[in-house]
Amino acid sequence: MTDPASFGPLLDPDASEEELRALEERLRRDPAAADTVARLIYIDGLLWEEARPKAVPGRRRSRRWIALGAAAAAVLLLLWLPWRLFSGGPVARIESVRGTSVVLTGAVEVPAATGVAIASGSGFRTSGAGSAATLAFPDGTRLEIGPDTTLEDLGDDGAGKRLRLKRGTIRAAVTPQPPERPMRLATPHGDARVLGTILRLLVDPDPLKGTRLDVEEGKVRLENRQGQGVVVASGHFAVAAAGVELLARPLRSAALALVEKMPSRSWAQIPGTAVRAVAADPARYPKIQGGVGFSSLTESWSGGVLDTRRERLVLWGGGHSNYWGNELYAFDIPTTTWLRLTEPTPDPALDQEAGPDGRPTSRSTYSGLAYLAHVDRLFSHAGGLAGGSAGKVDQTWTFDFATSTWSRRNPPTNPGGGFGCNASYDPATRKVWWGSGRLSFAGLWSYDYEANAWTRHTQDNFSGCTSAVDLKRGFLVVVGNGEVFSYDIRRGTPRKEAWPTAGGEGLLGKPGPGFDYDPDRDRFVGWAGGAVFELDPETKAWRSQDVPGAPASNRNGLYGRWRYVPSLKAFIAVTQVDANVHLYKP
Amino acid sequence: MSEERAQREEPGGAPALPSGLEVLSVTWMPSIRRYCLSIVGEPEDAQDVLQETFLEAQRSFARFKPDGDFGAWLRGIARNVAARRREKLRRTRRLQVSLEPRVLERLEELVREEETVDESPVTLLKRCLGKLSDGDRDLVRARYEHGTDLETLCKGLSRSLSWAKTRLMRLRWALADCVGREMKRRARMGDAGP
Repeated sequence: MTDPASFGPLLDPDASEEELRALEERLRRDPAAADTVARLIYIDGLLWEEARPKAVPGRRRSRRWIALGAAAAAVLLLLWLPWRLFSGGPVARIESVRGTSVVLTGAVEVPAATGVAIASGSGFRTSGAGSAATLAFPDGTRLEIGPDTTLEDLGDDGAGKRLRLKRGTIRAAVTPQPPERPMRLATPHGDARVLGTILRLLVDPDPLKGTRLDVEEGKVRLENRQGQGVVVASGHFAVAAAGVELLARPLRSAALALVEKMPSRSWAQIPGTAVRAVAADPARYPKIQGGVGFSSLTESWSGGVLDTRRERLVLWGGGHSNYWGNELYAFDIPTTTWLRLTEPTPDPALDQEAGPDGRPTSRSTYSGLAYLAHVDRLFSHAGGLAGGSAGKVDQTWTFDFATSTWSRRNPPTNPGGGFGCNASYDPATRKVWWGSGRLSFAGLWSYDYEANAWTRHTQDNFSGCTSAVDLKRGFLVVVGNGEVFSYDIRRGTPRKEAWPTAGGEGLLGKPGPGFDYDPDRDRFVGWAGGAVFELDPETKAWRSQDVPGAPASNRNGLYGRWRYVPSLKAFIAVTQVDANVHLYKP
Repeated sequence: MSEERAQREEPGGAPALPSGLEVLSVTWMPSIRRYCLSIVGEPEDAQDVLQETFLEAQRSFARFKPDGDFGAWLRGIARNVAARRREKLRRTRRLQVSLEPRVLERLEELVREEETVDESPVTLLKRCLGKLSDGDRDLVRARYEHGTDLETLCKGLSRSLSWAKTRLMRLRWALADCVGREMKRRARMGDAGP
């Protein structure tokens, strides 16, 4: 019998190439050697396997085997389930993968690879900015999965295809589905039913922003969790989120189309967008007209805010002896239309903080309005009260856009009332940074919505100023009364820092200038009629340019009716109630 | 029928639904893992081949017929994976020999023999290891269980390298013979019936 020791090189990790070549030669010459080799390698595998569970703790081999066991068992699960449970095969296959992606099956994650089948009930996750994957269904339906996206419960049963988008983005090209078996795409905020179309779904990490559905081709029915539904047609989008009206809107708004055609540093007006078209009817509301009437919305020291959630410029103003209507107006940027968000109190109380209906009375709002993005509310404090003085208007109010209701906050302390206030919301601190225009309460204050508390930080004077937050550096930058100054509002105690600047005199000397921060270009841009002024926060240098096509400004200031719109990468300006809305592309 | 098969099928022969990862881990995994260890030899490389085998199986699952031999299908994939990675697996020159068609053919027969008995081959091996002398058993365990290299082994035993290599080969052969005999014995017992 052959001495097995003569096959030593076979199981010797240090065997040389020559020794193994000699073994190969021996196998060719001696057919019986194959049996010996097979038995030896068989027992070698068995010995390694027998030793495996008792491997020394901490040895690399041991850990790797545990990892392998879990991974391979998970792959087996993926393999087994479709085989046993779904004779029709897997739900979908991975067509391509980029970056880090895993198939989720129960509590186990298996690295995704091209060609791998996805079993019913499985999920899929991409991680990292560059990650992406494409899944293909047997009927040709394809899912493009964007970065940082989590899908759950992929399936195809008697009711049709289904998946749950927990977060992130997918683009689905859905081939025609049987009418009784639409593809169902669920998100935390709603459900989309698809019979055949191309769509994009985005679940925003911010729960307030909800789910956005863009439809490129065909029609998709979207339902929100409040039971409202809308059919979204090709070229339109809709947002399902708590407190957001479920509406189909054009994907490329007229405003965006206009901006795309505009050269840099140019003005354009949006035709037919004078706010007077939606003004409360004076015949129906004769008691709110005051001495000037509706034009006070823009003429009487009043401002506005950008509702970044809905992309609307919201105006509130009037007050003094000029206009006593307390209604809110909003320019809806995607649809380029004006909306009257609330009706005025028909019989307003004069020189009072609130009317008989408990809502705040009309007032000149100056630059004192802010949009609290994290709670989706309008903020207002102080101003010039309808039919009265500034001193009496010292209450803090918020307006909930979702429920269309005002709340009188009644914080334990407040900065008092007064003209010429200004406010800016900082998304990082989630506070309103508020500058008082009334000397007895002068100073930089901050308002914390959750705590419903005001804090006084300094005793500086802000009368007639406008402010904006440098989102990159975390500074509140204030302009007006001929000066520029800033506060570091994110680190330590805010202290006034005067900015010695030159070249901005044409803006700084005007009352209530428009002033906002453009994060895309890292510039503050101000306008108060005439030239547009840009302030570089790094060099603290102004640059101004007279740009043709600018609208006529009004004499009492622009305040918050000049805002940067990120989706347009342009500024919006509302100057007068009878003038069209204007856009400035920097 | 092997223990592994018994767990895959219900008494009546109807396919059993998997109840989770535990069931799956003890069904096909050990058998394919042993197979990869046999043809590759080096445990870490065998792990890579095993992992790739299951991924490949997943990718090409649509081509597998449910009434086919799943184990043979997986082993075929493992062979192809190992062959494709031959150049990369420099440490495991054994592939030069283990992928020889006649060796693979015989190995396939040995694996199929496993399926004729109702005891796991690992259990049979344990029984055979128990029949070795303490010194021989320690030698085998030092090599496989503790991963000790041969040179270190020899130093500990005050023996030459060639002695250790020869002794280990003979012990493997003896164990292979013992496991083979045990398999045949168990298969005969199974055939006898009530």
